[in-house]
Amino acid sequence: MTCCDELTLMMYSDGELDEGRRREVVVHVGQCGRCASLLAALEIEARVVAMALRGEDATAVVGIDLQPRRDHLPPVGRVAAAGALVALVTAALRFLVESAGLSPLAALPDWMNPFRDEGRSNLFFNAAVYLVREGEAIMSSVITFAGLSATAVLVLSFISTAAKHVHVRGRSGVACMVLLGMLLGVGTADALEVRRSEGSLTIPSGETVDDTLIALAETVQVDGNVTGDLIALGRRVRVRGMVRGNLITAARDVEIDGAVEGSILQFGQTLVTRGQTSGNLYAFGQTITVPSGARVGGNATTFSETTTIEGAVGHDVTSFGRELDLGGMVSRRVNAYGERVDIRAGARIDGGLTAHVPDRENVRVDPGATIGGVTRIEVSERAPSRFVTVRYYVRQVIRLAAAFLTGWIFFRLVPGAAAIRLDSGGALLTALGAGAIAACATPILAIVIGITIVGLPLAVFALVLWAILLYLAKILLAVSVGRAIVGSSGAGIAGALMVGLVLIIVAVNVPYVGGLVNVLLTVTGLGAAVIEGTRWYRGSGSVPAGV
Amino acid sequence: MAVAAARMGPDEDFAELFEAHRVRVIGLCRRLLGSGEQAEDAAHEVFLRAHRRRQDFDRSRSFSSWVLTIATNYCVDVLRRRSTEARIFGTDAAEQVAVTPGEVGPLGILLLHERQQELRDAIHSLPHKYRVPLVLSVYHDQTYDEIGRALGVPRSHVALLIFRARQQLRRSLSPTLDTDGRRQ
Repeated sequence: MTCCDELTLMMYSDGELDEGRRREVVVHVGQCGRCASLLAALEIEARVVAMALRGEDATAVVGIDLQPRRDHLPPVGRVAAAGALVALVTAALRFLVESAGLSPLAALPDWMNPFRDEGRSNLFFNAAVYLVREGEAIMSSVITFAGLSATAVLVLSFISTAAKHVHVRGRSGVACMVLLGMLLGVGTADALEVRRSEGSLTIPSGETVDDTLIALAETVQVDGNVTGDLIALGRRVRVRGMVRGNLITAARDVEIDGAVEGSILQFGQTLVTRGQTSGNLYAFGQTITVPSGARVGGNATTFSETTTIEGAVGHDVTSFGRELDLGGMVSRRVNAYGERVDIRAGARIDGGLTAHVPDRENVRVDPGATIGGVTRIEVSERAPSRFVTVRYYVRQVIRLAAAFLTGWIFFRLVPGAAAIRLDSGGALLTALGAGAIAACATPILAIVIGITIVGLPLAVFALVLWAILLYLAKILLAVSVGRAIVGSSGAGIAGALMVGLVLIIVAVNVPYVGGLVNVLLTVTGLGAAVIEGTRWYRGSGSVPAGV
Repeated sequence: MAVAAARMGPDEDFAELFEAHRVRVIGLCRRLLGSGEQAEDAAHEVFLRAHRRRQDFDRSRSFSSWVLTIATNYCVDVLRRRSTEARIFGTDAAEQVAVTPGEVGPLGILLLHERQQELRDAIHSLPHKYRVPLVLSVYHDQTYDEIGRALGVPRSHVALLIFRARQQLRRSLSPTLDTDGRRQ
């Protein structure tokens, strides 16, 4: 037999050679000094590696406790301190806001507060109305965006795979990337154009952007034409040209002097719509003005402190805010929810006027104004603070009992769900991020897949599951919080659940910040559930049967 | 023995049983993943998986072997997920080159010079596809067949991967040593 190669000797040393080959090696090594010394060196080497690896156990592994997470959880003292800090900061903020003369903000009607039940229902209602009217356009945008995203993901995956498998290097690799990048760029250029600038961004009057334009800058000025939708974000946005699609803006000051053939959705502090709008106007801002000479072809729906309409509105005006000041023409009805309604001389309302105000005296209709339909003034009495009513506490107890019962049954059925841990900042942030994605993406995906008849049951199932998870989210979180307080050795899951639920229900009822806390806790719990579900799915898929 | 009785026992007994093997689990995860921090997380995950699957535990096998196999599977999954290429341990053509006799020396000398930390660092620096089979063989005492099943490759390829791992270790350690094994 010729000398053994190193691989054979290593396999012999590891006891992995078959019987026939092993005998050959034994005979040869007995006769060959070189192979014998090589084998001895290999055996020493294996022992050295094993010792190095095992020697680490004594120093590196000792001190790592498998269940140390509870030690890192905030003790009762820290939770109490955090609660006190939140209360202190809230009180300080309230004092500052009131001292600065901004108390009217706090006195806004409840239905404007998105963290109150009424506010949420109004937002939901208007969102539903918007979806019904603009649903088709939104769906088109969503589908286009989803298609582009999928294309981008596919191309990037292809680039990544090609780089790994084809071993593209140097110039050829760069050329390949650039070519694919260009292909991707050409593919998206026809669908969407993004322009951004740190200072001022202007679309000059002679220029026409052939499709949807997204403009991002400190100051955005559009004097030219946009044939698709225009989405403009910045500190100041001014549109003087023509937009053939919808216009969506978010800026401190928004001025629209040009023509918009679609609808306008705008967010900002000061919003002025002087031009001609064929569709609807949805405006969220502190001051909203539709001056004389301006025209909104559809409905005008505003959420603001002051809404002033001196121009013409083709359909209804619906105003949510402190004050509606109307001096223009409205072809249909006016619905105002607020503190004051002022219908000035020269105003004309072809339909009726309905005003929801706290005092009848707060509605002033000038004798020079014309109202074609019925004028109704509905006085809404401000309800006493919820904290002084027995009903509120009864509701909270029922809420607590329902959540506890649901949680207790759920954890009996799915004991693994109680293992969710959120005991570090990283885990909390991860859960928050995952929850935000799940909370937003699920309904969108459900709508997308629900378009088809085949996908409709799946979409309904997804939405039902989503709703159930939203309810369970805070319950899942409650166990994690409860364990942080009482530990796992206390009253078990039931005790931890009860403690956690009580804390969470108190937290979500804190004035002013309770709504935000509610949203954050729900989203975090949802994210934790999604992460745990994913882990469980992967875990059950990767552990082989019988193991 | 209490261990045998506890195999199918209540949660507290299971946790106690797992606790008795935690050092081995963390040690294996640490070697396979190349990170102590991740090893701790991995050990928790292994504990949860083992807990979920405790009814599947075969009484005829040792608990240690069972739980370390779960740890191996979990770590291999983690490494696969980390890589965009699913077959990270696959039969790469680069492994199939002819095996030539080489000099064995530096690692043995390292022992004499008590430079084990350098060796550990070098092992942790190995690519996953080399480090994992080496650790499973040398540290976890698994056979080539067992490693092959865990990684989804034939046993002959396992031998090549371990061989390459040891070759690469020698290469990475050689520059720091002179011919007498002393650090330069």
